[in-house]
Amino acid sequence: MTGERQPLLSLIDVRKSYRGRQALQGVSLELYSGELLGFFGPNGAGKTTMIRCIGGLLRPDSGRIDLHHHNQVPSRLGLVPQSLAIYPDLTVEQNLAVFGKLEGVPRRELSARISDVLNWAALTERRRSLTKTLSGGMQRRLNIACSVLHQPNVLLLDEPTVGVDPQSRERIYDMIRDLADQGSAVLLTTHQLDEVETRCDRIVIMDHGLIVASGTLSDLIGRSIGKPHRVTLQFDRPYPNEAEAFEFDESRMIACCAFDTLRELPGILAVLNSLDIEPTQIDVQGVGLQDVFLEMTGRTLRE
Amino acid sequence: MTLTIFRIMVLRLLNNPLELLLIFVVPVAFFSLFAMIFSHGIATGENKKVRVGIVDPGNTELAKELHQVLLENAAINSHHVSHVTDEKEADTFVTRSQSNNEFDLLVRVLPQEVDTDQSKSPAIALITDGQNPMALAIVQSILKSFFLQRAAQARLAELQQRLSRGPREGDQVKRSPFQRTPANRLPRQTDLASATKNRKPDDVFSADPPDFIPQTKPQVIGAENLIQAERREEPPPIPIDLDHELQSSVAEETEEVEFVVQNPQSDNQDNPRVAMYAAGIAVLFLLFSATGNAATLLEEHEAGTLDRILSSRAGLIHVVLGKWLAIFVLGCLQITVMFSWAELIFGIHLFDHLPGFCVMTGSTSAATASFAMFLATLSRSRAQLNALSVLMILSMSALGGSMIPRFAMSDRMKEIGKWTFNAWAIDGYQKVFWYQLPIESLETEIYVLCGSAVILGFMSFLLSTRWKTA
Repeated sequence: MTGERQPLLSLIDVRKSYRGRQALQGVSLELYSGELLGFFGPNGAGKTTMIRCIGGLLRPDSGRIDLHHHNQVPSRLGLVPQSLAIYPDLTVEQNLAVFGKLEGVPRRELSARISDVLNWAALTERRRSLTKTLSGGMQRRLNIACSVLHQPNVLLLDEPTVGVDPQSRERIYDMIRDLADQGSAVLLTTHQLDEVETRCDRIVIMDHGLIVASGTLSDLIGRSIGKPHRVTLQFDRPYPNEAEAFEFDESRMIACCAFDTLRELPGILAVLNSLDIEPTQIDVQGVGLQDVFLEMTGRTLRE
Repeated sequence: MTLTIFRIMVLRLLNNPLELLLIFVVPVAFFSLFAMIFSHGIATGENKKVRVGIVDPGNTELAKELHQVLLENAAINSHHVSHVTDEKEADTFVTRSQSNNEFDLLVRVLPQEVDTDQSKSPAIALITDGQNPMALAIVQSILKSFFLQRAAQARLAELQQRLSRGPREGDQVKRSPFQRTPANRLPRQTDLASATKNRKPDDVFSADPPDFIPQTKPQVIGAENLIQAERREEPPPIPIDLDHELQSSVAEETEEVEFVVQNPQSDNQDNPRVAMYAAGIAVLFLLFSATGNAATLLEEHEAGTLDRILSSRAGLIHVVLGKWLAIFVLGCLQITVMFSWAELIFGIHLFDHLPGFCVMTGSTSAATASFAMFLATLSRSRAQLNALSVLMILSMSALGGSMIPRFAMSDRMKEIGKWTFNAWAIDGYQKVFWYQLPIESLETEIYVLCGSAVILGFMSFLLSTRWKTA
């Protein structure tokens, strides 16, 4: 997807520290038109700091953040904060109008843009409702809608689906995909593994202020665990010997075997006949982002 | 369970220092503030002398005497204005000193030709602006007492002369029920002697004056002469009804002293004092509403809306200026509503003073808007702002005259009050509505209020940059 296209946004060795603590330790990244990039990392990894730096809300200590031209026109940036950054005492339409004006949407176009965005966010029927009377999902959609009135080329979303029901989440991702399909570059941070796995074109894993991995899910699996499928055996006591093709954990009560294609599964299961102890549970599963993530960042709690 | 809920309440309180401050420190602070105001301003006289200015363009002896009499009184701080040499200067001085609140009362010795009835003189004008009614009552009482004693002294001297030289032709001699005869001569001597000692309270000469009235010697000159004459066995003077003579003549003399109480401010206005109260209350609530509106800055920061705005084309200067402008306009409207209501109900002649009102309203709103923005940018959270603003606004209002009229405060407290917007705003509105002075007279108030607005506004912007460059 990134192919030969020119990036709309590029970060080069961006560093930022707070009172001696390094929040960003040299982040480099490129974001392309039509791309939906999922930023994934434990709490305190530096995701929000990076978004605030890109959005101009924080000044990096060093490095460069460039917003490039797109078709000879300077790119425009849209930022959707993690919190509901809208005015609860204004109506839906009034919120859109004020943020449209703040983003410099021409007066003559504003009305039409508001109508488009209301339709896009499925809020047309509630356009005259006070924002505080909307449901959580509607408020989230309005939160995003307020950031796209000026038709940004680069849209930054900081955990856009926090606290919404599955239906609203689906709707929000449909909206985001629409924007990407129209050529916008979208960068979103989230803790929802399934969202990143299924929705994003590219995944970036961040930890301790560094990008530890970047690519598609299969790329990441290939670079970390290596094979996309896995058989896991559980025992009720430590297994005393070795088992062919399986690797044991430290407790020797869990054994794993990764494999490339499902055709290899019968051969692996045949090993079960030669085991000294019968396993209590057998799991056959595909390797997911969680496995990759834990493989790359470890299991230690982060705060 | 009840105890657990109780424990939660206590723990919440203990973990919230701001709430503890509001509960325990703020009431004590306000108690101290009001105690200072009342103990040194209103309830005691030790620190609060009545300031009297004596204006005498004619440089008369009478004015000097009045000044001396007032100086002898511990409750009065008299000042003889010697630099005023003609009536025009006197008029200007009266207007200026009233608007600057230099004196509680002005005593002006009116020239003879001002009197329509030449037989009545001297004329004393007591000029008040109505701020201190006690000052008028006290000074009026002292001056009446002074003129009574002066008249009595003059009359007794005259009687003494008459007694010593005998009756002249044309003297009207009245026979008193107590007229001297050999039979009653001795008892009468005793009566006179005791009369000087045991004065009756209702006797104009013997009534004990209040502490603030200077004491003079008993008026017994004529009586002693009469006794001595009798002792010397000289031919008795023509009997005179002394009581009647004294009482009637003194009454006539004191009636001749004309006291004119002047209140220039109320001559052509129905209810101008209401404007001052309107200003006091308006500024108090203006400060509250302004800080409430400025708090939206903190709310927007906490909600992330400020981040969204700052990531748009708007910069921090736009945010601060926009909020300041909204608070300023709202403040102007708030004051206008307050004064319009005062005009409608109390008739404060708003439309007669429109230019002054507009100038004062603009500068007051500007100052309060900047002050509110300053507090908001200084605070780290809405809760912090609430605590800070309650403390600051109530203190400023107490000291600045929104709660207690400033004229009732001691000079020291008035000086402290000058550090508040309330005092400057109230003084300005008072000049406009009460003293009816032109806009030029508001120069100081406008400079102070607008200067504060500029300085605090600039500081607000500097403080707000922490949101941009964190």
